[in-house]
Amino acid sequence: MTEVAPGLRVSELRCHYPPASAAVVDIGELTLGPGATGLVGVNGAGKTTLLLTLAGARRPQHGTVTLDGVDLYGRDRREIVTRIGFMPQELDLPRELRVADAVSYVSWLRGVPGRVAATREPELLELVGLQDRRTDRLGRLSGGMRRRLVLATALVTAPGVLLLDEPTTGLDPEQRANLRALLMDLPGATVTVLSSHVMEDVEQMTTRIAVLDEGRVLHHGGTAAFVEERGGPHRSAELAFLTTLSGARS
Amino acid sequence: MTGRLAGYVTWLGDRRTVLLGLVALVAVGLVPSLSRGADWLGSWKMALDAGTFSLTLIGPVAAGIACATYVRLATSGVEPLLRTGPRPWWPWLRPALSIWGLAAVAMSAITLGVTTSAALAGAVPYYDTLWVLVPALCVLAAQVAVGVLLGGLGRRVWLAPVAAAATFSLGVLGAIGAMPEIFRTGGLGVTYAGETYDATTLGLQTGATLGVAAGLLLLSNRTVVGRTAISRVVISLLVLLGAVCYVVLGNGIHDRYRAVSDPELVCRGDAVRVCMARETTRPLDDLVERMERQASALRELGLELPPRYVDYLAGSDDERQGGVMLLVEETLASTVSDETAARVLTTPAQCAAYRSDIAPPEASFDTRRLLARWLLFRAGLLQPRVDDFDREWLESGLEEQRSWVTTTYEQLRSCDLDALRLPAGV
Amino acid sequence: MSSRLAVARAWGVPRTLLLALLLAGMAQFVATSYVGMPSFEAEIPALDLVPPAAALVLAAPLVDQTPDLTLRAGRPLGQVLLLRYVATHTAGAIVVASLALSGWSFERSLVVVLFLAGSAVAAAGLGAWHWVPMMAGSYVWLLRSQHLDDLDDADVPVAAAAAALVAAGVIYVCAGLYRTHRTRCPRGG
Repeated sequence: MTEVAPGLRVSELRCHYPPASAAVVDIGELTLGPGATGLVGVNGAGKTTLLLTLAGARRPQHGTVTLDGVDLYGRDRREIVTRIGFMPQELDLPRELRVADAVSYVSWLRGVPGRVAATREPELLELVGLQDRRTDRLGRLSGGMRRRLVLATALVTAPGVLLLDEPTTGLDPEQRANLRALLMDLPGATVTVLSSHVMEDVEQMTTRIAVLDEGRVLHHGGTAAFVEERGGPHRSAELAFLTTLSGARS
Repeated sequence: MTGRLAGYVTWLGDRRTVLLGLVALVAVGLVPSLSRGADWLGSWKMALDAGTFSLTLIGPVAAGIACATYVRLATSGVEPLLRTGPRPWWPWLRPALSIWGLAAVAMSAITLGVTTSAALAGAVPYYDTLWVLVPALCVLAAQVAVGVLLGGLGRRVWLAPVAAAATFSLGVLGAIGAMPEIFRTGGLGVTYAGETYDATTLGLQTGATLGVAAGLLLLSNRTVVGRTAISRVVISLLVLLGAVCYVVLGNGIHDRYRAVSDPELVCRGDAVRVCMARETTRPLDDLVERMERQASALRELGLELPPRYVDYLAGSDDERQGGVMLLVEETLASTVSDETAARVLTTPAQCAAYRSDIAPPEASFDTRRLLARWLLFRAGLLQPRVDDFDREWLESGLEEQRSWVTTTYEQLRSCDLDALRLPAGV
Repeated sequence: MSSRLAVARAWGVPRTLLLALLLAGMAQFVATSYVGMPSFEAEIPALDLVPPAAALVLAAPLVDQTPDLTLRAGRPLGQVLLLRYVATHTAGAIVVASLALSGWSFERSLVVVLFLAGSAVAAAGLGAWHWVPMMAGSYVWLLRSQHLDDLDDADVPVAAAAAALVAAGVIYVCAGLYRTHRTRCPRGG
């Protein structure tokens, strides 16, 4: 019996948005194993589409996505997607909803049993520092608080895989530092994929990096080595990224 | 789509969404416009009225769209950015203007469609009455402003249908007299023959609705809309004007239409001359033809027809001419029945009693009915059934009938209605 | 319990029930009144305005305000959609009861079920814009109601209401499942 490597694995993956036929994501093989992987690329590189596909929210037109060897879009889809937490860029909840209700509602929708959800809700809000905002309506939260709430909702199923879609975009430096600290201290998730174009975040929070451009993976390897090898004398993550990008495009 | 136009519709969605929205607005607008059938084909002014009446539903739907759009705008986080601009009210009001424009296009398309259809059906166009579109567009602005207010302040997506229902309710409140009918457009169900729109009433409505629109738009976001001195002045003036117009409309009687002092007539026919109001000449040729066919029976008896039969219009009460008193649906139809033509022939004078608050003598109805049936019988258009009470007299022969017909006709011509009697045995 | 309450709040059920109670109260208040409508030849009973109003303001739970979350739902989506449908008709039941208590026969009050079934079908096709065709439908209903001389003409047989309830529910749930499936699994494979 072949041993299945833990983590997310994509194979011959191709996604496009009909009626356009051009591939937004076109990846031969990619394995996102234990630890944190940074997914970097310019706007429109295909990061969000790939994350949605990895989250079980968008089946690719071609290829397979597996988690620990189980097809994400197969018969066990509903069971397996609960093992994946996804933190989207925007909060997809009514503004009039209260913070605690938001977490409870997402728990219910994700299929978490009521008793478990009732225990987890205060824990999660404490984890993201919103325990004093339980009764606040979502419309009254600041940008940073909304991001933390989205993170809490991504964690309701205690997922083994956590997908973060540009978690710090639009936040001020202080909010960004706080959220980054929070993300780095998160317990539970064994596989974390962080999509970002803020190289500083990727450098500090991930051990592996995948550079995406026009839907294709240009580089996949250790973050430290990536910066070391391509970041020039100052070991700049930005320079490493740009070097990779220009090298591929030329 | 040009860049400028694209800027206006940004908050409404892409080009396909805007087009779908327009189609939806036209579709819902057609419901009230066609709710009375297509009787407006017989009167261009009535068609114009039916076109503006589409706002009964277009307005509430536009208010709902405005509400949904402003919920999106208000919750998008762009508000702080708006406040920093030199004219912060402009980007705030631009979506409202776009929605108003879209709804205005829908209403105009329906109006164009129904008025063109009416013209093609034979109704004479009155382009000088097109100005009624202006008050209608102001009503639409006030309706859209209701949606802007609810969306801008409420900031809840579920408010869109509430905004639509509330806007529709404003029309109902006007109809039941709980408030002046400032949200009313068209749909009066009159032919407008010999009448025209009352500029004073519609002017007051325009002022009131502009005031309502300005006030609601200001309330939708006071910090942004009232940020500059010029916007505050303009809005204050409009609200003040609206308040005055509203109060004036709420006191006394303000009809939306008034009689024309010298209504235009169109006359046709030689043997029988018939004149109808220029607005409603659709059934005229058919009426003349049928009347001419039946009038020969009267001529055979040596009876003189009036110089002309004239449509009953306000101010037209000359007893020397015959009267054309048609029901509204008869006036608007393309053809009339032989019974209608016979009824007109039995009105050889426009007797004041026909229009008096006191009804003419009972016998006058029976004699005119019998005379009309005689005309139809003589023209071969009526075959009395076996159980017909009038059958014996109708088939008794001309010599038997001559005296009663002659006397009755002369009595009708001289408006001596009290003297009218049925023939013996009927 | 708290998670059920959170679900109800996320779908706007408490608000919808409150609106249903308001409508029910209004029905009692205007039970004997007649209102003139723009261009209508005859006045109509004010109660006739209640079913269309219910269709417009009680259908909010039918609209999915969290479509992205729904895509990643772990709960059976059919069950989620059915619960939304039930929530809407629960609010409608309050209005039905009020109409039946205000002088309408129970059968006539069932027209609210037809209106909400219509809203569900409209929501299945148009989502948040379900109220647009319902506005037009409501106007036609009001137009018809002014010509209802015989009150029995307005009665809705219980079997017809039940059939509409089930049929609209099936359409609503199936359309929701199909739409989610289409979004999750776009064509072109």
